[in-house]
Amino acid sequence: MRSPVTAPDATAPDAAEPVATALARVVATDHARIAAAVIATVGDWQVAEDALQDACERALVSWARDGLPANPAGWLVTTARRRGIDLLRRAAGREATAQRYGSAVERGLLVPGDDDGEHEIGDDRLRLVLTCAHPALPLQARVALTLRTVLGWTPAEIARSLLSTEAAVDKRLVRARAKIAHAGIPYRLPSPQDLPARIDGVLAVVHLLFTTGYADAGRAGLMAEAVRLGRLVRELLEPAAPERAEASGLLALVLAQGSRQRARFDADGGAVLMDRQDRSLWDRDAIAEARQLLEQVLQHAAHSRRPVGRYVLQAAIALEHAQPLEAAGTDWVRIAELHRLLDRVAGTPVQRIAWAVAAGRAHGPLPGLEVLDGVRRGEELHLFHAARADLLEAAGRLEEAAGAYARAAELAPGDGERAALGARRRALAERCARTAPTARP
Amino acid sequence: MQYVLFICTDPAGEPYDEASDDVETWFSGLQERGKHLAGDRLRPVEDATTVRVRGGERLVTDGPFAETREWIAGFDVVEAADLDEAVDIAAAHPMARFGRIEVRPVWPL
Repeated sequence: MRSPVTAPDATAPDAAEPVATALARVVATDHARIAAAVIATVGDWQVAEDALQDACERALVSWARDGLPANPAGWLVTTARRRGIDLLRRAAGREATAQRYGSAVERGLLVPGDDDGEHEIGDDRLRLVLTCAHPALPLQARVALTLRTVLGWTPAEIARSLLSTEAAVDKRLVRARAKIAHAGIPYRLPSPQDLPARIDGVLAVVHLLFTTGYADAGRAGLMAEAVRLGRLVRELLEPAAPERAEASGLLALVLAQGSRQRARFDADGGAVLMDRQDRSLWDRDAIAEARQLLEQVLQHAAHSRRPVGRYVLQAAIALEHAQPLEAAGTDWVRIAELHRLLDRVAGTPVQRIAWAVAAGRAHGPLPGLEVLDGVRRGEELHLFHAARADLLEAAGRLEEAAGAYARAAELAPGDGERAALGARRRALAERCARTAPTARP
Repeated sequence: MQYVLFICTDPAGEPYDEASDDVETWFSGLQERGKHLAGDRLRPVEDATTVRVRGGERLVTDGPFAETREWIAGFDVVEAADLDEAVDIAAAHPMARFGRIEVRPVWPL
């Protein structure tokens, strides 16, 4: 499904198709490694990008003519490096281009690398991933730059996934690369004391990719990319590094949540709530992998007496939901306890609402309502009122429940949710009418 | 690279505490390493004057160019290898806690 960086040139019509496919495959699987190696030599991100584009165009011609090289990724790196150095030399002499590439030349960043063989391209991917997620870049730019540079997406693909236009994505990418050059964002690993915070930034990008894909069936492809990136980040960290626990936790989280994807929508595309989903459609392999990751992390944490972070706890919660073969088998007591721990590490209003729901299932509506009372500015959230309505109904406080359903429906962002909440309210009204015929429906 | 640190006030900053104002230590540490090129406090906005020339006419007004609750209280020009080092330097300044600091790369002519 991924296309090469540029449209194939029609110079060799017979061979163009397999060559374009081969190039697309290399770009899809090895883009991070290739881009990292080119940036390491060229220094300037925009020059590296332009040089790599150029190398891809040349590959289409050259590979069609001479056949595939033994190491296509190495071929691209070597060609792009030469092209990049060439661009920089020319830029030094030309005013207009110097404006664009100048800062890197001036700063002497551009030490042309030793003439690399086609095999040794090294592994600079961690530097690449960390720089793409640098906190001095705006979040949207971090996401776009990661998709482009680490995962090899084209601006057109990014635009489709982020509901933007290709021109806007291009502009954002060019702007981000310019800031890297002008502000002096370094292409190096941060110091050990800065690494955890910086890895957090990378994990935030992974999580954002995932939640964006999860929220919209039309963009579900982002979930697979989040898994891919999450896997890569985890692999790049030392097994003993404390940051790796959270990276593993996040990978387990996206695997466990993503495992339900095939069961989340009915034939008409309507959302199916978790306890009504056909669990035979859940991806058991993904769940098993998530479980294995989580167990390793928890063992490590117990061993080193290190507290676990929010992604590990979220993964543990997701797995508690994902493991039982029937909804009735869900261990709500354990889920409520995990939510209590998560609230202490990284409590958000929405997370606390989920805790209240779990506490209600585990210990009854009153403890659930008690947790709900602690939600900061909950009155503004439809989820708060929906959870409150549900708990009040379970507690038999039906009039209050009806009011909460009404408030939730008012605030609900989507028609589907509004309709579902309205239905709950009507069902409640019928129940009121049955149990107390004099009560107002 | 050279960076200018704009030392700004910030109503949302931590309350000022003289005992933990270690700006002297910050300054002498940078000086020793040859990283501090220039810098000082600035008089408050009450003492600011804004100058414009429009159509050859000089307009001089009292006050800063932007009316905000935050204002620039000082500046420092520092030498740093890259943004990460400049950010480390800025983060060690006490006004990073009591206010906020904008880090801007110098763009040499």
